[in-house]
Amino acid sequence: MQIFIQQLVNSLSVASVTILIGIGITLIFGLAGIVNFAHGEFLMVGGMVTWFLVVSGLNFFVALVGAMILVGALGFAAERGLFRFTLDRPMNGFIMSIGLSVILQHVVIRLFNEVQKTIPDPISGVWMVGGVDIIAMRAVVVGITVIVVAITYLAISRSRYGMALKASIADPDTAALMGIPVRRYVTGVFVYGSVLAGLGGALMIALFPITPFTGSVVIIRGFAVSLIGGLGNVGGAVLGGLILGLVDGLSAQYGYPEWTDAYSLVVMIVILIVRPQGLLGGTLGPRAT
Amino acid sequence: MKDSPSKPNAPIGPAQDAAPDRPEVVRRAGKTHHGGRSTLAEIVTAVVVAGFLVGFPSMNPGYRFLSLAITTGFTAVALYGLGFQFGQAGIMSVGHAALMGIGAYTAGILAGKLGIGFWVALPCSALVSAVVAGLVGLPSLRVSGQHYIIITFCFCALLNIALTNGGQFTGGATGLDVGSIGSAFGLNFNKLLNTYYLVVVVLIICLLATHLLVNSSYGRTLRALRENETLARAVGINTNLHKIGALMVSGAFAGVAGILQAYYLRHISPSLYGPFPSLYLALMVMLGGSRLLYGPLAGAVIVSFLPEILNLNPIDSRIAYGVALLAVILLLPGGVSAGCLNIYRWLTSKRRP
Amino acid sequence: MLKLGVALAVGASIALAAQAVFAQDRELKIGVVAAESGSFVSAGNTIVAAAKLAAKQINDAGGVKIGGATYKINLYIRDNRTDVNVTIAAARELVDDVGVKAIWGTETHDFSISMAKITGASKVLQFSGNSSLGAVLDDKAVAPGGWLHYTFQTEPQEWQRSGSTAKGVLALLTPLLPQAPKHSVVFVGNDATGQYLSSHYVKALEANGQQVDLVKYPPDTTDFSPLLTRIKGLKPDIVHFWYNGDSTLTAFPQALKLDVAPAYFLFGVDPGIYAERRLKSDKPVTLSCVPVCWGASPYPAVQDYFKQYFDLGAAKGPQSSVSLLYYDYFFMYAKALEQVGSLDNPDAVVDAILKMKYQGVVSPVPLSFNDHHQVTFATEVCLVQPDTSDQFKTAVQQPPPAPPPGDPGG
Repeated sequence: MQIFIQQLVNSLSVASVTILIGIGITLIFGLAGIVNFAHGEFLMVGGMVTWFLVVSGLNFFVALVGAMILVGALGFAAERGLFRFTLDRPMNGFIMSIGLSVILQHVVIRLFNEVQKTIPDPISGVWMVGGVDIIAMRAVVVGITVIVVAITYLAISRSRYGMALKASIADPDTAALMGIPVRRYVTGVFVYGSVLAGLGGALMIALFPITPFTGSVVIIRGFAVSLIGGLGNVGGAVLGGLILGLVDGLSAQYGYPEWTDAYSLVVMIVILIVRPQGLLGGTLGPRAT
Repeated sequence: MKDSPSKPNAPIGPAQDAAPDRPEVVRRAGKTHHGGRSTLAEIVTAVVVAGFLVGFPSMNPGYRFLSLAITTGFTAVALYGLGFQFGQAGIMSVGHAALMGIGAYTAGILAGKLGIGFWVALPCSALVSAVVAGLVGLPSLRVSGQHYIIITFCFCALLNIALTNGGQFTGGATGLDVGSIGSAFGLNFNKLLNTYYLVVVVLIICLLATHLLVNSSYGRTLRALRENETLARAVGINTNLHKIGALMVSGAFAGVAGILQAYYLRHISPSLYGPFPSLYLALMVMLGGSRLLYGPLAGAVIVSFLPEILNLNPIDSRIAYGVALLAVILLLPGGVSAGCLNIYRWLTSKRRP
Repeated sequence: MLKLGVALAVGASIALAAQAVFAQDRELKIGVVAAESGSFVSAGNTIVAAAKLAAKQINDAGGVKIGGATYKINLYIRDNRTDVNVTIAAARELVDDVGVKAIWGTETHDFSISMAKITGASKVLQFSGNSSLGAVLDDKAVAPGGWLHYTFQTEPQEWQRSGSTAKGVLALLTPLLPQAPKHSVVFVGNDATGQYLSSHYVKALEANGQQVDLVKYPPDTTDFSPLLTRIKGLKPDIVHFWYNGDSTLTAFPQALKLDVAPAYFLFGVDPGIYAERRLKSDKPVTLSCVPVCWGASPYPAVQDYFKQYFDLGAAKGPQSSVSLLYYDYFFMYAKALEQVGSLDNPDAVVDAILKMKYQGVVSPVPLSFNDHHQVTFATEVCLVQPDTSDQFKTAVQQPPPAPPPGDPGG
């Protein structure tokens, strides 16, 4: 029983990072209509920037903010410089984002080489609660994620901004006619999602080493989570992240270890086929069928 | 603010050609039978390309470039499959390398377990890959393009894991050793040159097959389906059958590419067929252009040879691919081949009085 | 007219003489195919560095004297970009276009095999440091006419390495544990090398009295806590982290935090890297290197080697010791060429190498190749003093004489 709870606790922290990415993607994909395959690289850049700043002597939390700002700026540049031109043809945007992800990966390799990067624990210590080990840093990651999720949920679901966004994606022309500055909102969502990715990267490097290829490992999770939960649905992304995190933890404990990745892949495929609109429902995304 | 009407019911499709106001039929120049000039251009291009392919070894490229050319060749064969399914039916996949892997492993397992050599295994690989492609393609009938892309990625990763854990049957992570191509037509395929010619022949067959398919009524139906699926269904076209058919054709091409690769490298392992290689295949086909006949070939050639010629290390060459892809998407939405075609048309149209 | 003729004759003979003088230093073409870029660069670079050091030392000492002429080694280094297609293209270029007599490389098993099919067909010698070659080096393949007749495996057979490692680890850890360890868990990355290595190591541990559980993780895992928690539940006495070094460096700190086991063994983590990362454990930790540690070797010859190796500019990394899988054999090859006296008799060179015993750096005992073209030497294991990052105690166990029960050898 103890082991079971330990696995649940383990899963929460990784699920947190997945949720942060998932929320970013679900908003960008579902509400701004942009398919950005380089989102994982945004996370990786966030982590690398954090590493660089920490290694240069800054405090971790200062570096974290720095990473968020920088990745937000990166997102702004990408949206204004690239995705703005393919808003009408999301598939082209998707292909471009593949190119962008390759560029980001290799620019990082050029700047920092491809050896894994790691930082000393910002918060060390392990708490023993009822026979279960809770690693302090992981608890902090979960805590930060909860706060961010709450903020995002309130901002999107409960505010007029959120409703305006949903209107924009459902019918951009009418929304524009009603005075909604669709373009600006799109940029805003994109930047916000990118900031979340930067945060995710900073938190991730606090937990494990990252490499320039870390982004490509997490991106599929992020897309799957957003599609499973429902595009544009913050609660859905949280649910999707929790489900996948749980599958990971439980399959590691009870399944065949060498098939560990396979269990979550199968779950992703099944949910995507059986409930394409997402578990909690969402927008149709960019011109979805 | 927006320059084209929104089409809420259309599947996500590729970019339109650069001149949307021209009649549909003329836009697909190079593949129409309208106007003697385009047919002549077609034939001349075909002869030039074929001539280059066949004559390449006589240019004394050295063994290194000959090797690379062979690799480029079978990669292009796989790309023709991907280009067909995306260019004609509008279905993109980032799991195409997995289909190559199916073809390669079919060949490897047949060779290892049943002693079946290259020539008999060739149609088997094509068939098995086609069938698997059809099966994996079933979800595409139900879900949208972006869902399907994620699903293909997941299938590719799953195949990788299955191959790695396949024990003796698939050789596990180490993979399988493959023999050499048995002699046929009086040719010994241990000579690199003969292998090159074999790949060229297969590539030319691919080009012909693609040309015929694209210009057949099947091809036209696929394109109609891609533009407006609801309308196609309304006029009685069995869209499901057509889509699966396109995917199976794509799978067959990939299977052939896979067995060629297996017999060339003489050793295959799961890492050759994972999600990363699939992404690069998608990148190549978009770079070259999926709609025109020489697009996939252009994509394969550019990605394989440019780093050699520019002497770029892998890091810089990958950055160059990424930048090239961005530039192509923004400036030449149909790929490099479409860009070349537009330049050609612009040049020739200027000469008209 | 006569003067012109004499002038021409004199000029010609001077030119000929000059050429004869300069022609004394001929070129011995040796190829190196390794990952200088791409994901395996950290291993590939060490092969290149070893080659450069060996070539420099041989050339500085006067070159190789073959049949009355002096040859200087000219290295033709080709980056395989961690890509099998480029490896093959490079091998073809070196063998057919450049005309090398021998090739050193590669760091990846698959690439070495594909390369051997090319070198073997053209009678070019190949030296590869992949123990997994053992699976294909059988009687038929190494016999004259076989495709591996010209290929040499410069890493010891896996059951030997596993044997000496298992003995060394248990010998170092047993005195520090409350009771003799009985239950070991082997944690390995599920890729080609991991699968191959672990199959032998498990047998070696069992032959040393351990009950073994094998847990294979997906190679790109970063969060090991679920699997580590599972391992903790198995209540092991020792957790052995095998291949690969980078993943081990990721997993080990997580294991320490979760307090998974009373003792650990880390394969492929050099004491130098352990110290650099300032890892610290209150539980005993043993390390082993491939094949000898650069951070803490007991042998002066090895310390000397690494000093020169790093002086020449090589990077310090967990794979630096891989260079020793390639270094000594340049000297063996040079000696064999000198014995045979000709560059055009590869079969005689192969025979000469098979008969040779050479005192190299990688082993205190002279090196030699067995019937299946494989070397044998011991692997160094060291113990990190608990609660320190850089205090080590080393031990070297000779490999067992025969494969343990259940091990197919190879």
